[in-house]
Amino acid sequence: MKQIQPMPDAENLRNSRFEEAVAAYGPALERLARAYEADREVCCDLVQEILISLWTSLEGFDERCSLRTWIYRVAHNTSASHVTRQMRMKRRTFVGLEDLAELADKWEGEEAVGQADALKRLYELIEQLKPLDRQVMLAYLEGMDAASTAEITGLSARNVATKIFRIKQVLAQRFQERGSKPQDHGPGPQGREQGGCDEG
Amino acid sequence: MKDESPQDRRMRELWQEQRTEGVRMSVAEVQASAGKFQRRIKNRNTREYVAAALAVAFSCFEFWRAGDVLVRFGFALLIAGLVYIVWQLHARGSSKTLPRDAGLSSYVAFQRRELERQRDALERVRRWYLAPIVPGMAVLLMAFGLANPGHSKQIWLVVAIEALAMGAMFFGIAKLNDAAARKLQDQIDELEEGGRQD
Repeated sequence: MKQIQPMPDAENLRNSRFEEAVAAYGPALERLARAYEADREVCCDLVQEILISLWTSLEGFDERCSLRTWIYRVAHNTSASHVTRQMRMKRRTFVGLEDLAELADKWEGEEAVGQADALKRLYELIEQLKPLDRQVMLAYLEGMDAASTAEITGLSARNVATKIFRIKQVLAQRFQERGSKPQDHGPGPQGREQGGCDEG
Repeated sequence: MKDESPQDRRMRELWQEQRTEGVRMSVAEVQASAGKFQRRIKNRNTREYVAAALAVAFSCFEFWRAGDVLVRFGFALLIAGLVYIVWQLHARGSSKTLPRDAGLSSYVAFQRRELERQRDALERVRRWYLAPIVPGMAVLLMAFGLANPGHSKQIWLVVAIEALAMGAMFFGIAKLNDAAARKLQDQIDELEEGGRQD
């Protein structure tokens, strides 16, 4: 006789969703945390904070949106709150996408040497952005479409499209003339490449 | 993506192919960390309550020790003010808790709610944190002036200076909070502006 498997209870479902999220989106969450926090130690804390927030929030996940949208919302909301806290503590200011093109490029005229160098410059660019514009930039780099980005950020799809247009302009301005994508698959940008986060 | 240009593809590859170290956190570890986080919040709340309880206990002792009716009245008002502040701290849940709704709201909605909550708390500081202790302090200062023999002008000068210093301190705290609330309002306006732009 075939044995009936018990239905997974809510806690098991939450745990399995969490494991699914970490397995599928772990690298993307790590990249996202790096884009919000340059300091390696603090970045590890941020990754941990995102995961705790994610696990806590999954208790209320009701499938009204996709798990991916949920994960990115949690990650962006947690990270943006982190940036806001840091902004207050360190009195840092950020610029919007519309102002980024006007800012002087400290690498003007210098070609990026290798992937690590290009990535370092990309991170420097992202770190100057206000949290909302940073989210759109990260969603663009992760390959999300305007509708998904709008769902995560709360901006209109048209607004997202405008911002993506500006992002492309800025990236073209800063990177296009510096040759194609470097061939080596070296480590990440300086200050971010050494070791992982020890969660234990 | 359909309309991906070589430049788009290059930037996305650069971003997505960067080396990551791998997120290592099991369900058991995240549960343990979440528990640790909640305990930290609980300990912080306990510290706030203990500090308030000590202040109330000191005021009660002074109330019991004082012979003067006006001094007793002052300490009674101070105790009532402190109890009110503790109740407000408890009701407002001043310490941060884990965001259970972080996945329900978009960034704009989530952040606006957070900023508005913080702005409101700052704007109301003078009402629930400063004002409740003003009557008690005022009566105690008055009692100090009246309790001195002869009620000389110098005593009242000291009382006036103390009252002024206290008033200036309260005024300064209120102004700092107002400035912080205004900054938060600017951030809210900016967020709304960013959400509207087309």
